[in-house]
Amino acid sequence: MLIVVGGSFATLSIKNIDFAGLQRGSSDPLGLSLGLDLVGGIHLVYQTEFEPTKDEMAGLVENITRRVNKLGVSEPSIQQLGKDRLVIQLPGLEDEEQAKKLIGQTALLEIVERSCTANPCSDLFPENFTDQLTGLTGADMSSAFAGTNTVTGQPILLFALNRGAAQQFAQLTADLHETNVPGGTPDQLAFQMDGETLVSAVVSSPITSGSGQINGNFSAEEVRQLAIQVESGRLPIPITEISANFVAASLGADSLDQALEAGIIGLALVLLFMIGYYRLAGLIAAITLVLYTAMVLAIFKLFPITLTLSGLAAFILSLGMAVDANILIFERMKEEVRIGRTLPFAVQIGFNRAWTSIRDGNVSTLIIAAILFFFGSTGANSSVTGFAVSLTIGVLVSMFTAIVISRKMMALVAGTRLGKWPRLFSPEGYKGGTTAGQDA
Amino acid sequence: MNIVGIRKWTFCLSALLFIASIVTLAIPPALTPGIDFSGGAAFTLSFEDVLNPALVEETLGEIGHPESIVQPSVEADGSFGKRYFIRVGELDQALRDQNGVITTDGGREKIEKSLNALSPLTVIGFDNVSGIIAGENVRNAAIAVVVAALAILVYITWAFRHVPSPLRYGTSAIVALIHDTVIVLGLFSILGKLFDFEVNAMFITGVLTVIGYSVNDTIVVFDRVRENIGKFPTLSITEIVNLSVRETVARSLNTSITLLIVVGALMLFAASSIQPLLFVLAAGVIVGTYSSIFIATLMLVVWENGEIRNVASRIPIIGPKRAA
Repeated sequence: MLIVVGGSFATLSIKNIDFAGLQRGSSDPLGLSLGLDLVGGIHLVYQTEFEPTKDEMAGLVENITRRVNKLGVSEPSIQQLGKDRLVIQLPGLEDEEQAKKLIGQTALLEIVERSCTANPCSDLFPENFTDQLTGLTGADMSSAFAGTNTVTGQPILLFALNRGAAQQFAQLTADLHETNVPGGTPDQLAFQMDGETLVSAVVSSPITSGSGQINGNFSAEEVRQLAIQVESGRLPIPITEISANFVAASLGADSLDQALEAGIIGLALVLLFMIGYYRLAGLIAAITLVLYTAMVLAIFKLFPITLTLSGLAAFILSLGMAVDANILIFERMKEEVRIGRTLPFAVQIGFNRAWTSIRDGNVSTLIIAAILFFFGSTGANSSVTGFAVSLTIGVLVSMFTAIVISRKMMALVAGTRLGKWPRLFSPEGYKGGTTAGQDA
Repeated sequence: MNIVGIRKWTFCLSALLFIASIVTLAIPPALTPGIDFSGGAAFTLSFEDVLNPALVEETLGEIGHPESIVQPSVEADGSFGKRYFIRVGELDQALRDQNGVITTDGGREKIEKSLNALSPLTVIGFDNVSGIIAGENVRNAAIAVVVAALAILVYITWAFRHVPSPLRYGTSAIVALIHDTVIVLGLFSILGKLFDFEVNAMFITGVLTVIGYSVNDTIVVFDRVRENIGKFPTLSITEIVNLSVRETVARSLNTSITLLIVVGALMLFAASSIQPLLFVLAAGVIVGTYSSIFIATLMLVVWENGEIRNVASRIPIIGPKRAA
């Protein structure tokens, strides 16, 4: 028990955790990771205009990831949702139009001539190359797919050009091939996507038939990825924005401040109420509740779970519910004290009797949280999912703290001299005498 | 404290609230859907100058958004602030060329440009939900509510499998649950008609949470009834229920109070996007606490006493009809 509690505080006190390959933490308060609605940022959902194949979708995700990385956002997230949707999250980005412009671009695949001007003509020395557009683009290609070299059995990329472009390509490869002499500086042919080189190769023989292949030390998976990429540039998939959500950092900060303020005030009021009504038992519950808060936040950090406004609301709500378990136990204890049991005994019976109610009651909340999770995750509504996840963690931890921590502390206190004064534990003390056991 | 004795009154009160809720829900619009469910866009704008809301509305009307809702922020002294919340219908997307540059303004750009002409503005929040997603949200919400109701029904039947006639406990809890849900929906229907209170995905989240809470509360009381039946086999069900409610009422009230404290604190401080959620929670906690004692438990008494056939005649509104 002490380990769990101590661990929770330690987790929260260290902003960045890096332990045995486990890296957690951020610059946000307590090192928690905060959602877009609290730090500001952009959340976009796009849908393709026709149903794409798996590979087409993979190519699209790659293209957009490559472009989004240019934005310099620290933790961008590009995820496929269902068959034909993309969810793009850009935390901290203020310039919405810049993002939409990049994402809205049509993927452009270009065939580029890379002249080598000095040795060594290796990809490791990009400064030795000067790139020159050939005018041939993805639109001039008719296919690109992964295959194997019939002789060596090695994976290769196969591609073909449209009939109209074959002539120009033949001339181009013939020119490039001439530079490929021993001791010379061989020029290369490259496929570039949005200005970034996907693959480049020296030309071992002029390609006159309009279809060629790229050999290399590729793995089958690399070639497959490459084919998907080239295809996505050959036949770009049009996408439409179907949902957009932008929150400026200032608005996010306002929301965060307000939620924290609400949480602190709510917690303080609940603690006061508990102590006022249940006296010493309330104080113990109050301590438990503070520990509860630390544990939940530590779990949020370790998972890690991104805290959104709705997640915070669920967490604050779960504070109220965590109190419920304690109240159930205390009310039970009071009854036992009232019928004249000694305090240590009342504590034990109180916990045992209250457990079935706590268990049965919380299961209904957990069922609802699970349903909410699916409701939220089928659409693109992350706030519902955030609420469900926070609520689930809150309920589970509250059961643990009430049953394990409150109980240990109560038993500890009840065993001391304080335990002789039931008045300290309930508002009306108990009927009759001042010490337990006389009123039975 | 004879709780069973006042069942006539609480049944009457609930019947009144229930019927009133059904009536408001029957008058369209039953609930005012937010952009999550109807599709549309919402802006949070910060203007450099203080603007007259009528002027903002007029400007939006001129560019084809007469249906828009315009809500200025309100300063401490009651005057309008510089921050505006604006809600419009679905917007056309901007058309972009190969480089992603806008060639034809979409609905959003048009709105921002014409409002910027009134006073320079900064967009600090923007939300756009297309009809496709809105339709899915409606469908998913409906599925979630139905699945939740079924799951709870199964769960309650299971939780009370050891008591005599578990179906009675389960049905009573479900009646309380429907009672709570309909009254909360009725309240929102009225709030929607009067104050443009919108129903969004977070609202559904709130309704489901309330369902969970209502069941939780009912289970605690029923659990005690179950225990007392075993403890005092000689007592009548009326006495058992009176005793059980008396024993659990402090817990029910204290839990509700703590929940209302935290929800209240959130309501005062938290952002507008979760306000519908908080309203539902507050209303649900109050109705849920009331119904677990006065509806679920008392229904159990009525049923166990075999009064169920007479129950209709005890409700004055239905009574005369039955007599006729």
